[in-house]
Amino acid sequence: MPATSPSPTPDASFIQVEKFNYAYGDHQVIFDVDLDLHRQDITALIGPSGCGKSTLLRAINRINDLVDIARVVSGHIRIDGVDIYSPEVDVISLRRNIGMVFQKYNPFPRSIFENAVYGLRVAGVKDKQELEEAAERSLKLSALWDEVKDRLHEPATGLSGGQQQRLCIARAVALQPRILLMDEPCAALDPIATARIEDLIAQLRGQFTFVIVTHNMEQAKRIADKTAFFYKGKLVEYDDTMEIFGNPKLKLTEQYVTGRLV
Amino acid sequence: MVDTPAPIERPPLRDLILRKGKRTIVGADPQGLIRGFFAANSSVTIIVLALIMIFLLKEGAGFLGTYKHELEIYRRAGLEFCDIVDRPLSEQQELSSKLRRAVTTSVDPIIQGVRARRDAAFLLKREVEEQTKLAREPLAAALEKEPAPAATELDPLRQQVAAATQQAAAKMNVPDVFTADEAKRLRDEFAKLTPEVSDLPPMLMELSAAFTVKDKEAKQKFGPLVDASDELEEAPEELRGVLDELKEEVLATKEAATTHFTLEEGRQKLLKAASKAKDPQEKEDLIKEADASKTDEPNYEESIKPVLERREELIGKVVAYAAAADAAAVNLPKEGGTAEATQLLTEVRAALPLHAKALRDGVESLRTWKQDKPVSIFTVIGAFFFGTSWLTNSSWQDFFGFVPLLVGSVVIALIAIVIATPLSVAAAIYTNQFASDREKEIIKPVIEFIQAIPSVVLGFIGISLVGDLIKEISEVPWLGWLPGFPIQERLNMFNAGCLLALMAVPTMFSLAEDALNNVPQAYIDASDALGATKLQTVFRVIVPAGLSGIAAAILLGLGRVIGETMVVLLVAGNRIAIPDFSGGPGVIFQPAHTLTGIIAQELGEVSRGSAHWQALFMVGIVLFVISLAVNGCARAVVRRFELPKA
Ligand SMILES: Nc1ncnc2c1ncn2[C@@H]1O[C@H](COP(=O)(O)OP(=O)(O)OP(=O)(O)O)[C@@H](O)[C@H]1O
Ligand SMILES: [Mg+2]
Repeated sequence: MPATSPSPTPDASFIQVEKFNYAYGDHQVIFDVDLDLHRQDITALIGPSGCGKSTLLRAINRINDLVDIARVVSGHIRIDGVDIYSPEVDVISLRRNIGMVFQKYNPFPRSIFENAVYGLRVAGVKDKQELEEAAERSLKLSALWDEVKDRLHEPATGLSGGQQQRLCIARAVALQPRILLMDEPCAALDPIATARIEDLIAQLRGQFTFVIVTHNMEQAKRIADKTAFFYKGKLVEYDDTMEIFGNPKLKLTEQYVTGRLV
Repeated sequence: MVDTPAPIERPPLRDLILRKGKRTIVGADPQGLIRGFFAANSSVTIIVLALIMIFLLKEGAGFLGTYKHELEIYRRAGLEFCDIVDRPLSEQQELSSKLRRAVTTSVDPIIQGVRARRDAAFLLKREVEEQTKLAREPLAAALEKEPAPAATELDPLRQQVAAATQQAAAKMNVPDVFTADEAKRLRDEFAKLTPEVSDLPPMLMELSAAFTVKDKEAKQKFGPLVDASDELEEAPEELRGVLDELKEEVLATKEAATTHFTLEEGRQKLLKAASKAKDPQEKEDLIKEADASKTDEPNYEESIKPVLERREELIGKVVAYAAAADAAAVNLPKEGGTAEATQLLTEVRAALPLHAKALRDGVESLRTWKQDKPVSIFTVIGAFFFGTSWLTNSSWQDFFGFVPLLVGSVVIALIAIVIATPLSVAAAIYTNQFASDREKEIIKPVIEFIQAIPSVVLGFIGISLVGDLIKEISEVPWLGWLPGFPIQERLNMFNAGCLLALMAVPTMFSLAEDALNNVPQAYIDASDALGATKLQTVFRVIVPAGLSGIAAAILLGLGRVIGETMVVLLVAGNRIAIPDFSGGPGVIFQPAHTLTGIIAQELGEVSRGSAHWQALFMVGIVLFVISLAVNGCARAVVRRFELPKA
């Protein structure tokens, strides 16, 4: 099968998951998932714990390649028409163009500035001015600039949890990726910090294609254009967020979003 | 609010994530080159390790063969036969010397007084003579002259001597073992000393006589003891006589065999050279030379005959001596003159029957001993791994028994670990959990600095400082109850263990500290949050969680200690014998030799390829295996109890 297919139209699927099966060793955790994510959309992945949301997310930027036993059983993930598991794909460039934010904020134990420009530095950018501009731009994008502009060279660990998480977002957007993957980005934060992150995502809407894993139904309702509901490794229902929450087609979905799934 | 910069025009993602023509260095991927560099470096160490192993094995491999050959000669020449008696008999000397000591300590208190008086008087006389040497020498020289010089020539010299002697005698410092009258008499008599009279002054004669009388009296008082001592000393004389003759005989056979094999080896070399030589003349010369050195292997059957002919005679003497030893045990008086003497007597009385039994047990072996019994390879392996004596450069027979060295190494290592473990672990816990940052800044570098001290310098300290210190402490009377106190040797296993502990502390401290550091903060928080005090958190959560790391630290410390050479060579006392464990824990104050020490000490002096050389390599191999095993254990411990990643 060719790695590229005819270039899709801007509105068509940007990330296509096709008949995707994924396993850790002999333990299959994703079964036959078909999912088309649209360019610039914010898509929420929901579902009970252990249903494979994180696994799918981590398959999109192939960071799961680093888990020895993890493997694609069959199926494809195409991004912008390119099968990302084909040998022609440079996995480093892939990850450079897909940002990822983790559940537990994990800035490096270095200065705020160094955190913000880490991705650029490993990409080989040395020009000081360019780095400074990028840091300022990404910190502004992540709505952190005003809070940290006077202490850029202090350790990042001195920031509050919410600030650290926004720094992680800044770190990701500094590389100007097209896609931002977020795995429960607010799970470790309080409601105010959560609200700020949600605001931030809303502001960034249109600049990135977002895929966000969340356990917070309200959050999904507030920020997501589309929502995909997973159950035991299978995609149950995928639709506009309004539909999923207001008018689910399947009983299982309804039970889950109303908190009645046992 | 945040100002969002306008999105920039960017190329399609698909173009970005596909591989492009990559930069290469001489056709290779730079990432691959860097990887290759690291891979090459790590494989170098593995290759070196393999080479070391191969080299050790190559040098050591011949050992079993060579040693087997030596043991064969040992048997066939008959040395083994003599050793059946000689080995147990060697104990007799020790027993005899114990009895002699018992006699001395018993008699001493009685004769002490008179002996002191006699010795003091002799000492005074010598002092006077020393002080008047300048005057005496010319007179003595003149008296020697032939023909004798005239009286006029001698008289001034005599006067000088008399004057000097009188002065010296007057100044004499007479000790208070003499009464005032006696002191005066001594002065008078010594004032008359002159080289012309060689007789002792009467007072000295009297003092000597008094001593002799007292000595006799004392010996009479302990008559049975003195007799027993003399008897035991003389008891084996006949047996020794026969044995020595036999030993001479078999040694001659052995030497003939050794010479034969040395010459034979040279001859083979010559023949080999001859077979390779191109020039026919040269070839002929070499062959001639080889033929000239041809010898025959001695005929062992013939040479052992005279020895075996005296087998029954030897057995007779052994039985007689054993009976004498038994009798001596019975006749030995119960009490000596002092507590020490009584103690010695008890020891000898207990040891004598065993001694006699060991000899009698040998009789059976003497009867069944056969010269042509083959030496199996298992005997040789056993002789190395379980042999209890390491005896080299002996005029009789070399033995390469590995046990004394192993025991030395293990005991020293255990002492070191027992000392170093609490020190380093406590230091690690303190530094990691309680110390202020300032303290940390001091403690860590200081402990790590210990590592930088050259071990030979530590050896110095062991010899000059620790040795004396331990000895002095051990002589403090109220510490006498401690096992092994007071100690005999300054250089001993404990001393070496102390220094090795010091050397192991930095390694163990750093590793233990790392282990504690790796305990996830989450555990500590959880414990603190449940209301545990700092101490409780440390000992209930942090230390248990870090335990596998601490255990690994201890094991790696052990590895370091077992392999250390310089300190043990300098400080352990280097006595090649299995320490005597019968005295309990006091054994740690005995000297010993070690696996590492023996290699360092002897490898430089042996001839390449000899059995001794190969034996040292065998020791090296065992050492290597021990180190590997210890390191393997450390790794296994860590892996087995690994903490979940924080
Ligand atoms: N590294 C791994 N090795 C083996 N199995 C794994 C690994 N990571 C996840 N799994 C398994 O894969 C399954 C899906 O895990 P995943 O983390 O994707 O679930 P999730 O939907 O993100 O759950 P949660 O909502 O709790 O984060 C689970 O059964 C999990 O045990
Ligand atoms: Mg997850």
